[in-house]
Amino acid sequence: MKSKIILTGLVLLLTVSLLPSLSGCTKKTTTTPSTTSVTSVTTTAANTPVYGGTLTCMTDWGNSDPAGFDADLSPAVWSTAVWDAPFLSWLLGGDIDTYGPRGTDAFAFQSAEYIPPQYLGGNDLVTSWSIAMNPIVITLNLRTGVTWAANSTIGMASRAFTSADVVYSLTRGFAAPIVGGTYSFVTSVTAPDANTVNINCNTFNANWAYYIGYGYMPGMITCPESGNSTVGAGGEDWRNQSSDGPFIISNYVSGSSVTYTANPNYWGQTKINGTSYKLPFISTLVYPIIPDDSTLIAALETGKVDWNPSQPLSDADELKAGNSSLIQDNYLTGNAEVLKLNRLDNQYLQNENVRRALMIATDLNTINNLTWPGSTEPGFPIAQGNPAYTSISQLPASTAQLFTYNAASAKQMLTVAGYPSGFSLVITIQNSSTTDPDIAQLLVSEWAQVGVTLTINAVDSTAKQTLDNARNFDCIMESFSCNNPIVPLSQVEAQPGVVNLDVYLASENFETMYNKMVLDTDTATLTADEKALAQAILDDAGFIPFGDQVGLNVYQPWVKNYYNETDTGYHNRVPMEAEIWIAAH
Amino acid sequence: MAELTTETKKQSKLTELVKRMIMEQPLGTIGAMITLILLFTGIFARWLAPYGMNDPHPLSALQGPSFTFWLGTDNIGRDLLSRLIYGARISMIVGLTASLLSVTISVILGILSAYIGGAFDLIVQRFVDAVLSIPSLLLLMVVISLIGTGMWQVIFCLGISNGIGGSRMIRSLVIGIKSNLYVQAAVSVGAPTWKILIQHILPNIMAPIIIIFSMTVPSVILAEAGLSFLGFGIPPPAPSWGGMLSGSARKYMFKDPWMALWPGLALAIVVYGVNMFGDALRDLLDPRMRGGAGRYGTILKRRISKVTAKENPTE
Repeated sequence: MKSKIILTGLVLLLTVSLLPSLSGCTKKTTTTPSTTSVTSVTTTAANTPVYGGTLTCMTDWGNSDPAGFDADLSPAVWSTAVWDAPFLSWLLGGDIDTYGPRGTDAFAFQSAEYIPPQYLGGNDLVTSWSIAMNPIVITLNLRTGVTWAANSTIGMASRAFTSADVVYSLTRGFAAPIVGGTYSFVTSVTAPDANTVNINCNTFNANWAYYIGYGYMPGMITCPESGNSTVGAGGEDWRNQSSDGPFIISNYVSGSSVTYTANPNYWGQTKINGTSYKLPFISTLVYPIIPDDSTLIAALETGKVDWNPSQPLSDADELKAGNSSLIQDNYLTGNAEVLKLNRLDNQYLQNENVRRALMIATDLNTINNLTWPGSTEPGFPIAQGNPAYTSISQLPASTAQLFTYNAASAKQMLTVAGYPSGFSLVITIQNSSTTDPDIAQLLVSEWAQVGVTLTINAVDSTAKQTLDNARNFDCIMESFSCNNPIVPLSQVEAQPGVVNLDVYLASENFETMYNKMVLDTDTATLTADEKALAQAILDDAGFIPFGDQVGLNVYQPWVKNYYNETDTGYHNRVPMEAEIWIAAH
Repeated sequence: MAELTTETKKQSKLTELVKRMIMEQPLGTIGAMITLILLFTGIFARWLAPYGMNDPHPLSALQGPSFTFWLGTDNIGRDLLSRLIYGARISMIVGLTASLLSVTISVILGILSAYIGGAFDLIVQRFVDAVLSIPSLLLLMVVISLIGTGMWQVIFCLGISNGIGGSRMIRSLVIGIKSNLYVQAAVSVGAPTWKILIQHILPNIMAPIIIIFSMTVPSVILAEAGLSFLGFGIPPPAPSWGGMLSGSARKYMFKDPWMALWPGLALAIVVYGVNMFGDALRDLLDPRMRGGAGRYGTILKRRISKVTAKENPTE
C-alpha cells in the first residue's frame, strides 16, 4: 500500500515538474514562424577560399548502406547515383556558377532531379551538344583533359577519358533491366572520334537530356576497367572504382560512412572575385549513414554533420532550439499533393462543371496554410521556379477562378449541373500519411457546405496503389514530383504500379498537345507547349492541386561559399560540395 | 422466500466487496472511479463533447487551452477535448470487447485443453507455444496488414492473440480443480462432460476469470493505441488516442505539445486506473494470486497477532 502511494506521489511530482517546461516550450515555439518564410536566402559570404578540411554531408539515401557501387548495373541504381556522384562525373548537370545564385541567379537549383535545358552545362563531361532531325542524332561534344585516376586494386594506371568510355557506359546502362523500356527511343550509341559521341534515335524525345545526361543512371559514366573488373565483387566493390570526379572513394564502413578524398587530377575550377581556383577546396568528403531522424538531429546540433539539404521540415523548431547558430533555409521541393478526381468512371465527376465546382468549393488557401505553412501556390503539374510554370495571377480568368474559394458559387454550379441536393463520394487516402487525413477531414467539412457528402477511406499504401491502378476510387490523394514538366505530363504511357495521370490524359486534346510537345527540339517552343498543356490540365479540373511541399536545408555556419543550392541534377550535390570550403571553427 | 434470501445474499456479497474495496484498496477505488468515468464518457460522448469529433475550425488551429477550447485545438482546428471524449468511446469499446473475446477464447481453450488432456492438450499447448513465441506486436501488424485496418479488425486481432496466450493460465487452474473430489464424484455418478465443465469447473474459476478480464482491458487499450500510433489500428479520422499521438501530433509536437500531451495523459491515466482496479479486484477476490496471505490476510494476521499479544502479554 505504502509503495503504491509513494509511486503515485512520484508520478504526480513528475507531472507537476513537466508542466513548466511544457508551457515554456509552447511560448518558445509559437513565436517562431520558421516554416512561413520560403527561400529566405541566408548565404555565407565568399571570403578567401581555404583548402583542406572535412565536409560531412547527409545524402538523400543516407539512412542505409549503399546497395553497391556499379553506377550502371546496381540493383538500387537510384541510390547508387548518390554514393557514386563524388567520384563519377555525369554527362550533364546544372551550371551553378553561371545561372545559380552565385551567378546570374536565374535558377535556384533547388529542384530535385530536373534542370531546365537552358541552365545545363558547366562542371560536367559534355561541353556542348547538337541535334539533327533527319536522321535523328544527338551529338555530344566531350570535355578534353579529363583523366581517370589510377587504381592499384584492379591494376589500372591513370589514363585519359574518351568517348569510348561514354559508349561503354551508356550502352551498358541502357540495357540495365531496371530502366525498362525508357530507352526504346535510342537505336545505338557511336563514337566518331575520341571526343564526340553520337546518340542515334528512332524518335525524338524532348526529355533526352534528363534521360541521357543527368536524370537517369546511364548519364553517370562508369569507368570500363571498374565495370569489367573481376576482383572481389567486381564493379559493385568500392575498392575497384576509378575516378574522374572531384573526389576519389577512399573508404566505406558498413553502417557508418563512405569517405572520399580530393582527386588531385580533377579538372574542375571556379572563379571567385576574379581569381581562378582549382576544385575541390575540401580534402575529405564524408557521407555518413544515419538510420534515424533523432540521431541526425543530434549530429546537426553538435556539428557532427555539416550539411543536410533534405532535413524533414518538422525538425525546424527543434533544430533551432538545439543550436541557434545552424543556418536553415526553406525551399519548395516541387512535390505537389493533389486530389485526383476519377473523371472517367464516376458518374458525377465525368461532368467537367461538377469537377470545377468541387475545386471552387475547396478552400485551397486554408488547406495549404494549415498543412504546408509557407507554401503559397500549387506547383502542379509544373513546379514553381520552372520556366514553364504559370502563376495563378497569370492564368486565364476561367482557370484562375478555380483557385478562389467560393462555396456559394460552387453550390450554384452544382445546382446548374443537376445536383441541387448534392451527392456522395468516397475519398481514398493513405493511413500512414501525416497530411492526407487532415486534408481529407477539411475537405469533408468544406464540401458538406455544397451538399457533397465525403466519406474517408483510409487504407495502407499497397491497397491505395491497387485501388488507384484499378481506377476503383472516386477521388484519391496523390503526391507528384513536378520538377520535370515532361514526366508528369507523359505519364499517359505509365506502367501499372506507377502513379499515372491517365485519368485526365485520356483525352484527344491532351494527347494531341502532348504528342506535339515531346517532339519539340527548341527550348522556347518546348517551354511554351509545356505551359499550354499544364494550363489545359488545370482548366479541366481533373486534379485539385494543393501547395508545394516545403523542404528544409540545414548547414553549419562554417560551411562557406555555399548559396543554398540543393541539386544540380539527380540528387546531385557534388558540384556544390566541390566549391564549399570550411572556415575555422 | 428462498429466492429473496439468495438475492439478499448476492447483494450483501457485492456490498461487502465494495466496502472492502473502499476500506482496503484506496488506490483500487480510485482506479474503479477512473474506469467508471471512462465508461460514462464513452457512453455519453455525444452529449459530453462540446464539438463534433472531426469538426475543423481552421481559424483556431494549434491553439492552447482556452475558454472556447478547453484543451486547445489540433493543427486543423479540431477541439482536442471533444476528440479525447470520443476517443474514450473507442478505448472503451476496444478494451471491453477485445477483452471479452480474449477471455472467452482463453476459457474455452484452457478448460478443454486441461479437461480433455492427452494428445488434444499436447497439440493445443504446442499451438499456444507457437503463438506465444512470435512477438505479439509483429504478429498483430502482419495480421492487420492482411485483413485491413479498422476497429473490428483490431478487436478481432487483439482478442484472438490475447485469448490464446491467456488460455495457459485457465488451463493450469482447471488442472488443479479437476482433481478435486467433487469433480471426480460427478464423473463417477455419470454426469455428462458439459455439465461437469459448466456446473462444477466454470464457477470455480470465475474469480480468476474476472481478474484476467480486468487485467486484459488495460493491455488491450495500450495495444490498440500502439497499433493506431503505427498506422495499423483504427484509421483516421476516428480519434483513437494512439492515433492522436501519431501523425500530425508528432509533426507539431514541439510547436503545440497539447496535441500529444492530452491523449498521452488520458491513455496513461486510464491504463493506470484500470490496472489499479484490476489489482485491487485480484487482491480482494483471490488473495492467493498475489502471493502470501494477501492484503486482507495480512491485515487479519496483524489483528490476530495484536489480539494475541494483548491476551498474552508475556509471549
